[in-house]
Amino acid sequence: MEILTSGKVPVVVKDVDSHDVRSTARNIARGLRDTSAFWEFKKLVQRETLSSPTSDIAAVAAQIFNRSGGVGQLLQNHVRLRCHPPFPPTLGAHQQHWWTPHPTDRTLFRIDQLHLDSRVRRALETAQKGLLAGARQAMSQVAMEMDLPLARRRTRQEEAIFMQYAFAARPDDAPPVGAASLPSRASLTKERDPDRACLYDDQHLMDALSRAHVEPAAGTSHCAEFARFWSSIPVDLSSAPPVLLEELAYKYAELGPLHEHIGMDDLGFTVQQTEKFARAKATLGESILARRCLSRASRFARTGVPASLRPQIWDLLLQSELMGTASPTEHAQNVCKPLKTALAQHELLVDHLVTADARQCANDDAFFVFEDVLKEMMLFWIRDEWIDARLCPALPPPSPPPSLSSSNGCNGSGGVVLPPVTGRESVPGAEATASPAVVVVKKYPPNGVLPFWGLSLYAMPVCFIHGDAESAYLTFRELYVRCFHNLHTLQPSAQTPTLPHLLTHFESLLKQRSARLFAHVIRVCGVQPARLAARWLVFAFVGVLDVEQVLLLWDRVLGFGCAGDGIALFAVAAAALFATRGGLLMRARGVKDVEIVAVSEFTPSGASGEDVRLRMSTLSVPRKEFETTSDGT
Amino acid sequence: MLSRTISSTVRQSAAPPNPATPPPPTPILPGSASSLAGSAAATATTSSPAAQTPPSTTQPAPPTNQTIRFRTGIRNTVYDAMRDRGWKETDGEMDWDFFWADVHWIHETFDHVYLQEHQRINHFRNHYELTRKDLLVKNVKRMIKTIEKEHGKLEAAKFDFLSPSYVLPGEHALFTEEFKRNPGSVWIMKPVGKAQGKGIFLVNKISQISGWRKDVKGNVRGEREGDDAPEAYIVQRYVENPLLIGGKKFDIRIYVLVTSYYPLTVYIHRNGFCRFSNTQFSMQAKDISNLYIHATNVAIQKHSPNYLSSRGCKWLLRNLKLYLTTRHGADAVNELFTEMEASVVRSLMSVQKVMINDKHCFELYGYDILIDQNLKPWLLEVNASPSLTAETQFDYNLKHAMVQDCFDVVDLERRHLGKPIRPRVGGFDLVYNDGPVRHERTSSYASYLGCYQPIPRAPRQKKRFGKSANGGGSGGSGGLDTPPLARKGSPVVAISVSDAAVGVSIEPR
Repeated sequence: MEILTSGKVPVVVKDVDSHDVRSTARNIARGLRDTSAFWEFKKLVQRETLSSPTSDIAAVAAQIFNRSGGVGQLLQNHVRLRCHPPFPPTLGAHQQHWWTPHPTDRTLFRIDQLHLDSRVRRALETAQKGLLAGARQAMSQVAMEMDLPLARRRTRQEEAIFMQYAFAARPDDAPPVGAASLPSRASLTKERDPDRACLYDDQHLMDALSRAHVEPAAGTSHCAEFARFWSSIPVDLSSAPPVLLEELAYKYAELGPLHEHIGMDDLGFTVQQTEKFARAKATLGESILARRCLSRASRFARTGVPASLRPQIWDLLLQSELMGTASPTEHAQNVCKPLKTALAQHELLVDHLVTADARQCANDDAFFVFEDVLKEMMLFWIRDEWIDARLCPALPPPSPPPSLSSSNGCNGSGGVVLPPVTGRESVPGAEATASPAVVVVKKYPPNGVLPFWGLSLYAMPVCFIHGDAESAYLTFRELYVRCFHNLHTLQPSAQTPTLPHLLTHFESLLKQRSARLFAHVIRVCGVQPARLAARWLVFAFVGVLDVEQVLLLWDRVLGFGCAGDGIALFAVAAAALFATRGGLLMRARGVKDVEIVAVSEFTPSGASGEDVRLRMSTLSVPRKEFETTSDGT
Repeated sequence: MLSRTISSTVRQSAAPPNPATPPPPTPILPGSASSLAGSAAATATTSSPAAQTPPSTTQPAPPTNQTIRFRTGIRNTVYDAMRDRGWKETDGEMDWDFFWADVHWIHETFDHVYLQEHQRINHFRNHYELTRKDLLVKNVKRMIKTIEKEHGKLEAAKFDFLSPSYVLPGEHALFTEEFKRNPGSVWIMKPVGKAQGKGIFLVNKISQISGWRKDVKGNVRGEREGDDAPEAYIVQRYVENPLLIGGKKFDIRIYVLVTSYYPLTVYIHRNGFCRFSNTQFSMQAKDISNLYIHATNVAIQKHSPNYLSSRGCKWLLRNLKLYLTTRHGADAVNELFTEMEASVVRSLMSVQKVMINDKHCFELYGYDILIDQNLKPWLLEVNASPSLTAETQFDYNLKHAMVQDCFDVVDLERRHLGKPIRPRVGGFDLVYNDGPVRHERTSSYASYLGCYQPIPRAPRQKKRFGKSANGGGSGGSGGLDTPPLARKGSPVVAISVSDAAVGVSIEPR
């Protein structure tokens, strides 16, 4: 088995040089022992060997390994998921002919984009730290106002009651805070409700970003000034030439007009065509599911996933290595069981924050149905140490550790020190029956992420995918660690673009597409396009587009890989929305107009039938660009 | 004077689906009950592309240059819709072209007045054959018997869209028998004449309804219904395994427009919505009496502690379709929605014989349908006057658009006079026209329910929420204060279409 494992690995990551391959393979092989699939495979081999007439273990194992959709495929998927391809930045080679797309860049967000000047990096890190310090301060304030300890052990009686009624809405629940909309739809100009219990929100995030400041190095000040000209992002992230529209057309070739798309062609021209396309797509999807092939699935998702196959395809894309013999539902329940126990035993202060956040969905016409499910998911999320482990691996790479982690548990610079109760339950009053196990949690909150206002928006569309909270939660947490946490992170990461990068990307695309529009919105209307786009990006378009559109967009994001091109697609979509609205925006004369055009009419409940048009427009920018290139060449 | 001029132009055909002159290209199929039930014999017809164009209120040269005068006693989305069409309100007793009447007027006055040729009214004379719970049960039971005799048990089984029901006190003995056959079953009691969930309760013991026994003195039905007689109820087997979403029970409201019973002409609006209860569903005995769990009527849920006035608890059918497709696959959902559509038509066929057809009348019904966990639709009840009062902006948009579509179908302006009957008007799809209608869809018929994409009309601001009494909004323009930009809604369509590299059809389906 060991041989089989390491034998398979190099095939997949052949781009890395051989020494690296060996060590990576070793690492993965070691890591495999922790997954349930590994042990299931062993058990399976054991069982089949016992029942087979020949006693050739190796042959049986090989047969199990190689069958279609078998362990071999799972292993490939696993390796693909685990290895963020650490391509060495091909800066030099790239610059020679930057106008022609580089072959290795085909499936990656151009990595040279992620190369940052150390001063810029430091500035962003400081911004992030400041933000989180503020959040921690807010938390201690909330704790004081609500007069609650950070964590508390429930009594047995409370535990029993909680288990029974945990997630049902209770009459004594305060009505959801805020006006009748989700935070992604909130107005830019209106003041936020100051009373809501939140640590920080997207506005704080943007403020922190705009406060980021780079000390100019001697002699380059002009250059920096020039780069920052016409941008609302105060730091210059363009260390490499900006991604061109033509490049996009190449990178997102599958989004071009020559490809058929779910979300467009299934509404198509004639009924016959539509049916034929839908059937073909469904058949293909099923065969991919049968073979459990991750790479095919991601290519499949790039043109959209039919709604009926979405749960399975997403499972395959997000956690295919987990698909051992246990059914996904069972697996989900196994994962959530300890979380449920922890939830019953301890009450955390952050519980109140995330529940209040989850209850916002009550204000939305599409998501209110899932209020209880969402609450449960968010309570799981906040105490899931798996998230911390994934976001901040035990052996941090020499480069700065992935976002959020560095400053969370420990005392960030200038932050308020958390009361030392972190994780330990401060038993209120006299509890005679001494709480048996004192659980020491490394971080507070246990998942290592300070929740921000609107975090539950990421989880909302997932409720459309899975009926039970457990399965939905598993999908959500995978999506969160792979993709969404980057959307509200300022700190640059070595592998994926984070919010500042996405905004820069958005701005550069919009400027290329229509500099006049960009200027108009800034000068005449006095709105930074990036401010508007940030709201869409931070919330991954939830609440901005209709649910169905959001899911279609996420399909593509997953298809292009959450880490690189996929997440950059959010920026592309934002630019696309702007561009489609160009005509109307050009007529706008102030902040209010822009909001009406750019925000309110996108709302799914609007009677104006906007969503029909959006279906196209989310895709039409890449399409337009595709046309541009084909004209040019 | 005025009415006479109009009536002269109308004389040729007052009702759009004129049975005398069926135009050749329309999908009119002579069919019996079994042809719908069997639903195999019908042929696909090619509908003209004109059917795809959304009805536009700016169509040039309407055949009549007279303003439609309407009378109504209510101030809600209907009123707004009529005003928005440029109709003028009148308060004359009989001096109107169109009367959006309430059912009381129909019961009390309709029989005593004579309607001019062109006058239209929004109810059929004896609509209660369909909308009163006991009569609906009676009519459907009779239909089942007829079909069974003529076409056999298999066909009759297709009319099994009502949960087993008995009228009390009349069928108390029958009910007792049935109750004893199903020990532990739960039944729901509904007063026959009341709406909005009034008087509803659940029973699981026969003793709970002993007051409706026939043999109790003074309860002999038909002979002497004095004050001590119990109110007429129907008792209906409670669907104990409703489909739950997010742990909550819901039912579906769809709007059905009948423009004529002879021939039976039925339009169904594709944009229904789901109404949710606010509390987690449970069949535990202790929760039996908790109506916040079991009833989904807005009128009841409004008083639930979890209810939020700002949001209502309505979920668009489109969302339901997306959710169910994801969980159960496209085929199961198509089957479900088509079955829902068929149930609606079958219920109408059950009352077709007794309904007094009248070319002055049309009726907009609100159908309440429940889905169980096997994805079988159950018809709960039919409302003759579905609530068209908006509670939220969302609600307003939905209902206003639906009512506008309804008026487009009814076509009081007579824009479609003498033209073939349209298979699609706004969100309304013609599903039955003296036989099942098939659009140019496919070999496998799929309902359009839940496919609604709103058609852009001029954007509107919220005008009237909540219950406004008579004369609440008698203003001129209705306080339209649309932001100047939003007014320019329509050009966007053109822009985005021409911008797209490929000629994508933005025809909403």
